[in-house]
Amino acid sequence: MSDAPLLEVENLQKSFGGITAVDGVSFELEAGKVTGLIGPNGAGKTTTFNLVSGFYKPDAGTIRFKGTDTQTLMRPAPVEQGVWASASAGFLGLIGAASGRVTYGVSPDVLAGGAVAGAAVGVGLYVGQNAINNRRGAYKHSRPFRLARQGMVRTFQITRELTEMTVLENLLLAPPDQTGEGPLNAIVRRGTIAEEEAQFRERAEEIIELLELDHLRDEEAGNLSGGQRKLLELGRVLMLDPDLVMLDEPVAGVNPALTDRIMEAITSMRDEGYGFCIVEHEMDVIMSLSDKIIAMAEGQKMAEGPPEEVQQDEQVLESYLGG
Amino acid sequence: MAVVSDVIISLGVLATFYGLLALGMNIKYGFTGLLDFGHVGFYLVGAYTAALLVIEPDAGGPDTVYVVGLDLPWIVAVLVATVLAGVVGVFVALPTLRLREDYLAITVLGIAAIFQRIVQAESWLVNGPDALRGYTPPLIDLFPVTGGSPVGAAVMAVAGGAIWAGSTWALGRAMELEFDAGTGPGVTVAGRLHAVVTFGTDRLIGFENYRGGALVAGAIAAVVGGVLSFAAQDGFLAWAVVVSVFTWLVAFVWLTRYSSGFDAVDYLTTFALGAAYMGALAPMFFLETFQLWVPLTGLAFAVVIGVTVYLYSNWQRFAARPFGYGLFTGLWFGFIWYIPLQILSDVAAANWPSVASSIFGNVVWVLSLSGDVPEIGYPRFKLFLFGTLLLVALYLSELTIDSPFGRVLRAIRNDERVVNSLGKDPFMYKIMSMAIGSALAGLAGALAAMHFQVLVFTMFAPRVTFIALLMLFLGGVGNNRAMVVGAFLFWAFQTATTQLSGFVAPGLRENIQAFRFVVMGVLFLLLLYYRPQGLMGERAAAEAGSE
Amino acid sequence: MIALGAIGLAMVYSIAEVPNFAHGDLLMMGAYTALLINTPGAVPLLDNLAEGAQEPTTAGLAVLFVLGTGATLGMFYALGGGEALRGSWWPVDAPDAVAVVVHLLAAAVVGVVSSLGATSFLAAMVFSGVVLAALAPIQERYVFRKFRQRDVSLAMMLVVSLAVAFVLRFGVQTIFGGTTRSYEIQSTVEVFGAEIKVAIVKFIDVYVSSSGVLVQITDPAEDVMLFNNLWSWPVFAVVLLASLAVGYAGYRYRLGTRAILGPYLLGTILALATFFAGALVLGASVSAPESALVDSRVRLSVLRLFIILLAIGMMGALHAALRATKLGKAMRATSDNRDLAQVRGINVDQVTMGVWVIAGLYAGIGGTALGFLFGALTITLGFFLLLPMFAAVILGGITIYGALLGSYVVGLSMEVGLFATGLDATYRVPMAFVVLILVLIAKPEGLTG
Repeated sequence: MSDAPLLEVENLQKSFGGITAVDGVSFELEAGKVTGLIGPNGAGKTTTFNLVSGFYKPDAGTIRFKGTDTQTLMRPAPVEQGVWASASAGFLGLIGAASGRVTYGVSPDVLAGGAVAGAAVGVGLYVGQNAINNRRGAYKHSRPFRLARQGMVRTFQITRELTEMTVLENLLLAPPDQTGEGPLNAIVRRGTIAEEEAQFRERAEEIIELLELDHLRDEEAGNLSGGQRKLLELGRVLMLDPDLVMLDEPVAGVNPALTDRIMEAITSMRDEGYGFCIVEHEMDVIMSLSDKIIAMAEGQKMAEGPPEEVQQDEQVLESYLGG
Repeated sequence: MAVVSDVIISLGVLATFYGLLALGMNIKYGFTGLLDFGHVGFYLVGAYTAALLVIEPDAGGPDTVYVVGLDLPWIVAVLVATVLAGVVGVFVALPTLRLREDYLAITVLGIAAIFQRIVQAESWLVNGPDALRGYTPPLIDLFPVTGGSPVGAAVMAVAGGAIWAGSTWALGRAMELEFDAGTGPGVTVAGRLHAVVTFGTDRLIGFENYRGGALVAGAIAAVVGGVLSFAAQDGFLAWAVVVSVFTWLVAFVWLTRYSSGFDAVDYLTTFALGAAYMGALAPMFFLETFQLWVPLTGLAFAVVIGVTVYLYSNWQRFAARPFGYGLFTGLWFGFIWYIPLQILSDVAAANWPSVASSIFGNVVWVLSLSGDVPEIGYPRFKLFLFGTLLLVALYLSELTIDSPFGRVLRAIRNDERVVNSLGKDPFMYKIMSMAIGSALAGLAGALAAMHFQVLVFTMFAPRVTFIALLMLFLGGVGNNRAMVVGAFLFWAFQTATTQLSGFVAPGLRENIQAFRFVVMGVLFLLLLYYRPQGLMGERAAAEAGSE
Repeated sequence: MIALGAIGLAMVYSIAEVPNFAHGDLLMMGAYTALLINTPGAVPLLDNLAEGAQEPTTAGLAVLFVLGTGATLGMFYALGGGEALRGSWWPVDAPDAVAVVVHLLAAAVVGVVSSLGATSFLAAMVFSGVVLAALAPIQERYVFRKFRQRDVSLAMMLVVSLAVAFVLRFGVQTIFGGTTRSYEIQSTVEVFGAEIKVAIVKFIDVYVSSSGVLVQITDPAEDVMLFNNLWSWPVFAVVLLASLAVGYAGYRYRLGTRAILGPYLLGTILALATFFAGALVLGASVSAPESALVDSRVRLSVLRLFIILLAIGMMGALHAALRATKLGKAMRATSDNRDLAQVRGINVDQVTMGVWVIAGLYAGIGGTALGFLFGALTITLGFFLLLPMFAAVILGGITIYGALLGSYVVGLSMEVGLFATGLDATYRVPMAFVVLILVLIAKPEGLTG
């Protein structure tokens, strides 16, 4: 690996229906550091967050994670392209067979000929459309899960725990590439799955203990308090062992005791080498946690630097008081 | 003499493949949250594929035209139909899964409608708007079988052995649960019965290995049944009685588990309720005039339902165990119909031999006693075959759903974006879910083709999807085993109302048959409102309730 | 014709937030309800009160009167309870007494029309409209609102509406049985002493050839040429340009900003009016050309023409109601954002009821018209329409005006698609869906959404 920063964002832009939410933001994040993203409401923090984590598609600008462009990462894989190509081939093949029938009546040759012709047109159309898309750099599907597989995992501002599943199940869901995630494996390779499950379970138990959620292990996540949910989300992220953790307001609406616990967890993880990017309104929390602060206002970066410095920045103070 | 075990058997056959259909729906909607209103489309694909693979090539007659007849064995047809329906499911899913859930539902409904129209309009494909005939079900020439012949012996050996093994397993399971409760093996009714039906082998194998013991017992039973049946017709009959009685006993053991904590008052109340529901139908039997019994029956039903609701909301016993009360009321209702009602007229006429044969015929359900000679008819074989396939499918579905794969599916139902943020592609999982669900629908279709032997496009109306959904909500959303219960309840209702419509003047029968769909729709609405998770709820909850 | 149904569906979908699978069956109910007036003798229960298929007795007429009056009052009541009867939904403020009297009068008129006009097709249409307008809100009140209060998901709402559809469809079948029915239509109507054969089909031939556009209307029954007009290309172009100019002028220099007629609509109407006026004046009479580029023949009877005009009129009325009445404004607000509307003091529940009233009214009238157009009433009539209707609504992005656009796209594509591929008429409905699927693949949010 080079010395390139974990995440580089350059000149990021995004607008919604004429309103520019993020307007040319650039910054860098480093591994083993906590970076705080602050700003008044409507400053474009959450939008930036969604852009970086791949849930929105930027209008302009580049995001490089571990030196790779994330938009490239989220392009469809060859396998997927194959699936879509064969799907359109099949679909148009059917149409071809049908139109062959309509025009020339029913005979095996006509049906087969129509199907082959239709399939050829289907593949052609798909490849053509793909070529055009490639040139324009436009993709219909956003694939945030690819980023997660590369080691960038996020949480949500309004916690999105899986309410109908237990705390343990929530955690067990997270590990990547589980053998048992293939439906056939679920039937054929039950031994391997059981072994894996045991490992994951062990790890999950460790995390549950770390987060002091043990008494809630078999509780449905829907019954947890707001703060416990935040902890659970954090735990789920840990199961993935990511390089960069993106937290969207991890302590909003959480009681002080739990806040301390969450902060402890973040600090100890940072010391283990995880990189963090945190959006947070609680100034005390973010200032004491962060190694670096990026202040945003009206879609633009206003200040960047160590917490003490940013705290003194006049512009920042003004935007907070004014907003 | 009225032997109604045949009715139950045919009900069971319908329930098996509709159960499979509902199972497919459950994978899609129950676990993954994909509301597939086009479920019937895959059922159609499965049915016609299976039929075309099995029937003989088109002879070129003027009445029937179809594209191809491959004359393949049924098992190949079933497999191909299942796989093909799954593949079609993937193709349908690819463009539609990206849509919003309501758009998805409507679009797939449209696709199913297109399938139906293709079958209807393309006369060269599967005989157009007319029926596709010619499906010969497997081994139908062998049936009915009786004792004293190699075929009869073989059938009794296989079917009897399998039923024996299954029942022994169920018994062993009950025993294990009791053992957990600390009673120890062998001293409970289940334990003693288990010792008998395993021919004592359970002492050798060990109680904890009751699964293996069931297989051994089944094998022994197969040999015994085969030998007895081969020896003589009487042996065949006798063994059928033994097997039937055994299954009844196992049913009782399980029922006592469900009724644990019931005392005489509970039994009496549920019996009274069951009898009251049956009694509410009485005006129908005794009054000839249509204008008279319709309001009377309606009134009686209103009263009984009112009483039930009142008891449920005001009586501690009922409110504490609605599940047990509901179950037993239904059972008593069924029981009254199954035995006492069938012998009522004979008892009144003091025709005792007929009474006895009625009871005997209904108890010994393994054999059909409607003919001159006790025999195993084709419907029973079909039930056995379908039931086995259903159990296999159920087992595999349970394995799939219990695995991490099932966990991802449930996570998608909960919140797709979480799954996405955790590095898993929800789209691929939804595709797989659609494939599995559609394949199950295809399997159901293949069995339906075997069952009906004649396929018409009207059989694949969107109504079927609605029925599958109804079964889903009846049983329990996200509960595979409940699908069988839902299918059985639905067909029990259908069978009961079909029996009842026999009392109505033929001219009005159509109206009555429409009316029962109205009733069903209203019940469905009530169910959705008061118990949206289904009667049995999700599996975890159901297990907590029964164990 | 899909449009009439689609409007109702779109309104319910966007404002009441119910993707209503029962809407097709509502249309079907409308068609069957019209039977009560049209052929009372063929309706179960009511047949005891009739002497022949179309000869109800006095008692039968009395029943129809009561039903008609009651349904009208029920309809008004559903618009907003007792308040509505006192005129709360009117665009102008009127004294309570006036409103009550007007409502009662309206109810009485409908009652009289239903009873005295019995067996006439138009009376049947009116009757069916009000009955459905009174019945549809009941669905909302007792089913959908309950579920909405539970905050169920959209998917659940779909399942619920499917169940309602089931109840409606088989409810009708329970009463009417499974046999196919049809209306009895008198073939002639006397208007001002002149006898007009309303049900007789006229042929309208349009030829496009090198010499111009020729329109001929013939009466095949008597083999008489009723109208014969040729527009040579220059004339045609002049008329076309003139209408465009007038339309644009209407749009540009509109007289004041009227609320009901938006600028676009005004322009379009003016343009069309100019086009037809100019076309009539400038035409010349010739015989049919030997070779035409396009010749098409439309079969039209006076009654069909009437139905088409009625549909256009109803759309216009709805447009006016949405723009001008308080209820209409509230509906548009609710459609935009239900919660916001509630916060702003709009009684969302009442608005929703109003939506169902309109949906029911349109379903009743539309259903009757459909029953006539199809020639035969079957239980599945509604279901086959449901799919194109949904296609239209989704294409239109679940807005009322979008649904109109979507209806025409779907209707056209069904016909053009069938024509182009040469497939069976069985594929009419699938064609709508192919269009829908293609559009959704390209643009998952719908056309206008």
